[in-house]
Amino acid sequence: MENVTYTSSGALSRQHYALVSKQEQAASALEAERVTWDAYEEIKSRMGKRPRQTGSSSSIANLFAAGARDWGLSLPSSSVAWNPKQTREDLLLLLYCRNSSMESTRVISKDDLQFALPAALTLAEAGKTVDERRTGYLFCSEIISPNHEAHLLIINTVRKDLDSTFVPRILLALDYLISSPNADAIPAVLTRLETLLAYKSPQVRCRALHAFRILGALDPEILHHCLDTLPKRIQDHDISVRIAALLLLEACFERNVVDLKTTGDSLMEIIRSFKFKQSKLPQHQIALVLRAVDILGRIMPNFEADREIFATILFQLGERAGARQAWALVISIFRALSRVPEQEILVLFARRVAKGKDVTHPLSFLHTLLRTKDPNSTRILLQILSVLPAVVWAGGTTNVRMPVDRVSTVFDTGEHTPNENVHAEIDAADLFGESVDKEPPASSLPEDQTETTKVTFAALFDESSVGALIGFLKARDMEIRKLAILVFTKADPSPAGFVSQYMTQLLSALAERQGSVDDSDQRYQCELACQALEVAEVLHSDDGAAYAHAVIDILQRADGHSLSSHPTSPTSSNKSTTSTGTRRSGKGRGGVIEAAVEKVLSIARKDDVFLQSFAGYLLPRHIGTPKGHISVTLLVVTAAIACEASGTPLNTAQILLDSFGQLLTSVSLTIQEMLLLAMLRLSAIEGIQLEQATALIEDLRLKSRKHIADRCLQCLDQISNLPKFRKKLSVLSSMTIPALLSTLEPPRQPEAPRGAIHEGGEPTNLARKKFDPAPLRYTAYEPAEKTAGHSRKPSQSLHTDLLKSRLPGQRQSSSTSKGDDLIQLSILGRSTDRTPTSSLFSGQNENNDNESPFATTISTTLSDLGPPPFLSRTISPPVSPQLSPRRPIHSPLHSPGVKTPSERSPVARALQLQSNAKIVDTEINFDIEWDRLGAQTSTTSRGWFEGEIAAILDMLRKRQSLIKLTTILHDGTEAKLHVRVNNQTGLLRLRQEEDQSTLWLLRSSDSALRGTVKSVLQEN
Amino acid sequence: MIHSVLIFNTSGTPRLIKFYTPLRSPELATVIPQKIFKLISSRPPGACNFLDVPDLDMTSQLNIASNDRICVVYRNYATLYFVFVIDGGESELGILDLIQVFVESLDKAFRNVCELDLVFHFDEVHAILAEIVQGGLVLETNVAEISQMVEEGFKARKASYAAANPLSLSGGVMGGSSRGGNSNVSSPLSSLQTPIGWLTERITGLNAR
Repeated sequence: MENVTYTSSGALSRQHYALVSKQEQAASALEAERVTWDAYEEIKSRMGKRPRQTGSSSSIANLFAAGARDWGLSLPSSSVAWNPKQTREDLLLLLYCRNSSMESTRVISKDDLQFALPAALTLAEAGKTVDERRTGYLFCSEIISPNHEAHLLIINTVRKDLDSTFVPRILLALDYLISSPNADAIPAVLTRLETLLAYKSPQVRCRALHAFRILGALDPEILHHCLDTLPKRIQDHDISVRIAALLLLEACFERNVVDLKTTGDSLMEIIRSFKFKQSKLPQHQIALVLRAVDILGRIMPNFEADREIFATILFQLGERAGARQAWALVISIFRALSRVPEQEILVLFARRVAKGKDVTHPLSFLHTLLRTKDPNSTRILLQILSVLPAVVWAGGTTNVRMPVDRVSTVFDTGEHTPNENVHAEIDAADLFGESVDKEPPASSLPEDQTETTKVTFAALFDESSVGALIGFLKARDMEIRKLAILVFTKADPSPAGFVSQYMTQLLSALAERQGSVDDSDQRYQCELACQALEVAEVLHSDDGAAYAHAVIDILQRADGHSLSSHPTSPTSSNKSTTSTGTRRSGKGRGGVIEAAVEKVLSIARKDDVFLQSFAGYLLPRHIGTPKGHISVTLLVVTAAIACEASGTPLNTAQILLDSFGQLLTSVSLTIQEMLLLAMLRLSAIEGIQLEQATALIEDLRLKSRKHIADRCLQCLDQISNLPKFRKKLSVLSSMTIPALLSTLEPPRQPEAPRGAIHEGGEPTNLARKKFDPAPLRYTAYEPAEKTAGHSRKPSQSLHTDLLKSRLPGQRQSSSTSKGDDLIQLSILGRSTDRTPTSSLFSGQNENNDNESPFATTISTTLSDLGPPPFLSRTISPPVSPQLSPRRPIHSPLHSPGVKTPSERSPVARALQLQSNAKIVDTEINFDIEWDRLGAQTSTTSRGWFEGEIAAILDMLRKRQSLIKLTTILHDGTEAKLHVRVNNQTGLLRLRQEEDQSTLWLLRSSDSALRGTVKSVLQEN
Repeated sequence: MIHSVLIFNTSGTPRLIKFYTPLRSPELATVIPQKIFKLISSRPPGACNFLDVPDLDMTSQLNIASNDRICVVYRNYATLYFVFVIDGGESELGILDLIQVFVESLDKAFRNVCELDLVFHFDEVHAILAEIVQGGLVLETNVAEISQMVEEGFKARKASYAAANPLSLSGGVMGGSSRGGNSNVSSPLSSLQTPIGWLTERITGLNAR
């Protein structure tokens, strides 16, 4: 199969097909963006240009009138007849264009689509088919902003659809109400909504409940209208309706429409009625109970008298759910329990302890999770441990405030007759369909009716299991590591506790390697610093100042006072630092530990209070640090925080400004740029003295090369007109370094459509313009990489990948129109002759790793469409990008030609990849192989690339269908990559120079591979 | 609550962006997916499917009512990442299963779904998602129910199309060949009669008593 036709593509229309084709064939992201905007302009032109209207209701009315007139509704004389089918297509294309533009530099905003609102409103109102109406509603809900007056225009349509007897129309209206709630709609729909709560269709009932909940947030009064029906819906035969009813119940409780007792009783009734006797736990029932437990957990702190009864029942439910490995339920239950006072939890466990030594640990089911290698299971285990009092799983003796009744019952005679009411409560529960522990819960007794006693809890884990737990501190997954730190912190929170000792070890290890110039030592240091930061994050999660203290300590140890070792000449320091100083060291430009910067800023920004506390400690400490002892990584963090923190005292800001200025000539180029931006930000503070800072910037400008000199000029220019600069700052959404940088860049001019004639009469050719590389220096500041698959030669376009996903049988030879051939797109790369027989199922891996990733079906057997794993007993297999947890559905219903699962199975491809790939997975292996290839003749190609390493990687990754890359090393200024093309392998080294150009060297014994890669790199 | 559902391919190209929480700033609609893609694409192999993003609610200004930390639950299927951004009100494991339910539903609707279906039928993807999540809360988790609803939707659309176009011979709406490679699959729409179909049957006696 080499071609895919329009008919087999499934495109909405030929225009849609052509649009996608052009986008995917675009040679650059910029060209793809222009294709999108061209399509947008074309549709806009077709639909009729009109001014953007966002103003008053009268303007909305005008907007609608204008739209209606152009669409031939109110102006019958219009030459263009209203065509709902065409309108639907246009609206969908506009939405597609907006979605496509999300990754480009110019996004098609909601405002840009306002012109189509009249058409969408009309389509929702007067569409002939459900599809057309649905498109109208979809467009409105996606484009109309909340509280926009245009919502008023659709209320009547919604009301009419709600009144319809045609269920799909009712559903459309309800969906719209839920997705775009508006208080003005309430009077128009309330009566009908009440009726729909008892509608025969469960989908309608379910959505009506959701609509009530959503609208109730806007006007709580309406919640009173559902109170009569709500109890019936909670008992509805349809589980989805019951879940929706529970959520509505919670909303009613939050707004004091329903009292606590009613809410608690309703939830407990559902929880109690859950049956564990069934051999296979019903997924729907679990979902219902899960929701009930979640809600109960949230409102649990409000209960007083009943709380311990609820906790007891939840505890027993948790044990049973654990035994049945319903992990989602287990986590929810223990999270809910974690909201009750710890003493009450201890009482629950103590009661089990009192039963005797033969009783298994109530958490023994967790051993299953410890044994598995699945990271998700590990996370579940650690999450459960983190929400429980540590003593119940770590073991030990602690004081438990037992109710007097319980103490006497459990520890004395065992014949005590407990409170009958409590027994009655438990008896009435008929818990979980099986015999239950009839031990009464500890009731909320006054202080004088309780007795503190020492209870010894057995440890859940033996020595080897504890070793396994400790091993999670070194897990590859940061999430697991952090959870493990949290668990151990809770288990031993003392200053000399386990985690504190671990932290001390990390810091000692950092100190030992301080000043080492060995690359492996430095890289290890970076890893240690990041792990120490994770510990600090957990230990000081609520205290910004303490976190800042830890960060300063860690980064100073990791960097080893790196500024003192820098030469004072900025021009000479840059190159040496970026080109050699960071080689293999794991550090980025200027010796900055970028991962650490990213981590620290990510934590510091988590909320305003934390950020201010963090900044309040960090910034003054920087001022007091001698110049020779400043950590370069810490300097970057300080500069970023100085920009982002608000309310810095004037005195501190002044000293910071001058301090940054004095450091300008001591740091590398990239840090100079950051400091300049930070100084610019500080300059905007009212009342600050700028003379010294201005002189220092001017001094740097005279000493620097073009890039920094230009930046200095820009800063001086902004400082000279501070009111204007402050105005620019006032509109920024954040004060991050990239945002500040954007104030220095000239405003981006709207690009004319391709082919548009400018004043000079020449058509623009924006595709030839160099795509602006991200000017941001550190990962923490960079936006997500633009790795969209656009930058391709037409002959290797992504569209060819797209086309591959339609295999022979999908091509409709009999129905292919002549026009199809005109739009047919050939796969100009390799044509792959795939047989529909499944190599995966036959155990043979077909070598089709060149196959497009697009061609891969997403479908998954997912245990042959069995029950979802976490609601039931099965633990999901680990999911990795290459060995994804699915294989295509192998169904006899598959038509012979439909893309056969095995042909594109990512599993098969991954396996094939692994088997063929030469193992060059470490830097050492890379260097050995590099030298080996270098010893041969005619194995090396080289060249210069006008751009940064990131741009090269971006370009190569966009050719991922052709060139497979494995990064061995990438430290910002140097990269080592393993390249694979058509089963041939090669090694690529990249070295970035100060002028942002990159030298590339490629070694491979295969000349074709060298030619392919070279041609790609020379496209730039 | 589910704050956002995102689908992007392994190159970071967004295939579906759906926010259930109003964003404080329009540009965040592009910033958040980019940030999340960057985070999940840099995860090591063998990492779990959950990711805490401490600064998402601040720098990205997701309008989170509660103080729950934002969690990203994602799953990688072939060339696509399916990502749900949730807060503490949702069960992370439940959402992980919901992603699976979503993919299964897509697979049933498109018969062996691939990325191409999401490109050419993004409106259908929206519709299927609307059967699963509404207003940021889970509506339905049963694949069979969802598939039935989707099929009923097809039928209803076919019926309304037939009503609006009485002379049409084919379904028109998502029918036959326009259905992204599903032309060989018998559609529930095929059992519905158009007036001409009815007439043909009368003439050929298929429907004669």
